[in-house]
Amino acid sequence: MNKSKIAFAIIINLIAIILILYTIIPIYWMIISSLKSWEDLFKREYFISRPTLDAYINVVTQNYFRVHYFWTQLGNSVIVSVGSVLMVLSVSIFGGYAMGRMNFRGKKSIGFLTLLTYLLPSTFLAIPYYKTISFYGLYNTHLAIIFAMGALYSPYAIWILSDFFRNVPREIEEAALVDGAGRFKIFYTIFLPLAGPSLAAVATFAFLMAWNDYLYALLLLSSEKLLTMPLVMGGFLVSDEPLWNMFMAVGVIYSIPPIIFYYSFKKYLVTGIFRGAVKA
Amino acid sequence: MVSMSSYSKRTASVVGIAFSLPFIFVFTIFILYPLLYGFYLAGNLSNYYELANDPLYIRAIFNTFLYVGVGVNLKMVFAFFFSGLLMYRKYPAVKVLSVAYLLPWAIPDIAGILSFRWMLNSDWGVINLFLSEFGLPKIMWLNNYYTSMAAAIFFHIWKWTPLWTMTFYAGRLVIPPELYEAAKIDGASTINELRHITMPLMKRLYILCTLLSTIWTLGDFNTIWLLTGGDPGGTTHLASTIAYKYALYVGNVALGVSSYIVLMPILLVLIFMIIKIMGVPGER
Repeated sequence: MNKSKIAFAIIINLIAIILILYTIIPIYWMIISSLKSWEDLFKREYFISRPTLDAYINVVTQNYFRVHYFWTQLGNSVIVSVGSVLMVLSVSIFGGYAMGRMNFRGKKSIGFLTLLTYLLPSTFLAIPYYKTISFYGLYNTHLAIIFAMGALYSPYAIWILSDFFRNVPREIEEAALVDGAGRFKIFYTIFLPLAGPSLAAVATFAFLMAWNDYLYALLLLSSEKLLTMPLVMGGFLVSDEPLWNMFMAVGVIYSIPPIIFYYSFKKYLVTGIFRGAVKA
Repeated sequence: MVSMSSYSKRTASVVGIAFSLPFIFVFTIFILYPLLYGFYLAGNLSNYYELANDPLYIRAIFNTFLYVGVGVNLKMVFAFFFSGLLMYRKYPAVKVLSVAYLLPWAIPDIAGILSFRWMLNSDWGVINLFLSEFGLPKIMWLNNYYTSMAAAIFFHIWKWTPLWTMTFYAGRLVIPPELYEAAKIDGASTINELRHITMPLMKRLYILCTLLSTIWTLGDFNTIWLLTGGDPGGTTHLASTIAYKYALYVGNVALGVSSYIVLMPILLVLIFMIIKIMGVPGER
């Protein structure tokens, strides 16, 4: 009995160790390569012997033509991401409240539309979206991406918020109704302040989607100074220059904000659509 | 629902619609209109004749089924067992894993792909350097159809398993522990617990996740576009990426739209199945 328990513990730990290696080796290699000097980059060494920040310094001082607008382009990613957050919030706060707290004709149709938008892969919409944006005169603007992110990712946000609004106790609302407060007043004096954590989760989700977006930026932006970082990094891949330490440094820098967000909000990111399925 | 007594049904209806207006507005302008325009572009039947005569397109459709069929199923089975392993959190290595396993999912696609491209580099990539330790020859990973597809599927699995592991883990946590305790008392083996408790209770979630993942994998653009670029010789394109080759490089937008609208019937069936299992959000 005891012997088999020990054997079991060894096997479980061993599998876990293999999976840890499988998970982190590509990330480990990205970090290690970013800390190597040009001379060490092509050597066969799996651990770092002489770490240097050269690659990072070249990136942040924009000391190479592919990172010539690094700060501007990183700023573009921030603008697009923050803009997308505002867009998603302004759509989903109201939509979530209506879906979670009200009964009205057409609610089911709106629920269906949110589901359809959520399920449709964004890839399928991108080409016609890109043509449409040209009609609207928004080609090569950050707004074009912000609107896309707002439209594509509001449905998920609406669900998270409607789940929250649905669970606010009825008594709180009824007390305000007795005092003669209107719907809208109740909404912004009672519901909104309570929704803080859910709003933060929704904002995080929108931020991450916009931060990681490559396809819409590829289609919608053309000026070098307007590009977001994923496009710039995509440019490394078609280059023939083997400046992998610098490319990896950019990869590491760009990964830090999403890693922080994912680990802070992971419990919110798994729920949403799955909540019903998980409970059942 | 909520305090209907204080409002007439009609007022409630008007207010409900009013609150939904921002979504309806955004949906109409940025989703519905482009979608209809897409269908309009895809209406020209000569596009399909042209596609049917492009061997690389036929190849892309085949690749799409390969990529989705292999990628999704391996990923889901892997995630199912991965989530089971995470239940043994009392073991130290599992504890570390339960924190680390999210990383591939947390970093941007493009950062992960940059790293894979560097590791797969035929001259100085760490994989070939490692193989050379054993006297093995350099492999041109991305110059060959089979290894390119394998690398893309591997990346897809590496990148997206954490999301589904996390979902299955959440599903496992709501299975009442008493069921397992009772089974232990009855002397059930681990395999029997899996077959008679875990699998039946996880079935619905597993099917739902597989359907959802199939839809999203059909739309996976970044992996192939950035990892193989459709090469060598345009043979590794998927429906989702060859569409952009037509639209951006060939400059034929209508052909691009038509090339993936072919998948629409499959998508609609999958969406219908999901709605059938889960219902529409407004109903809950």
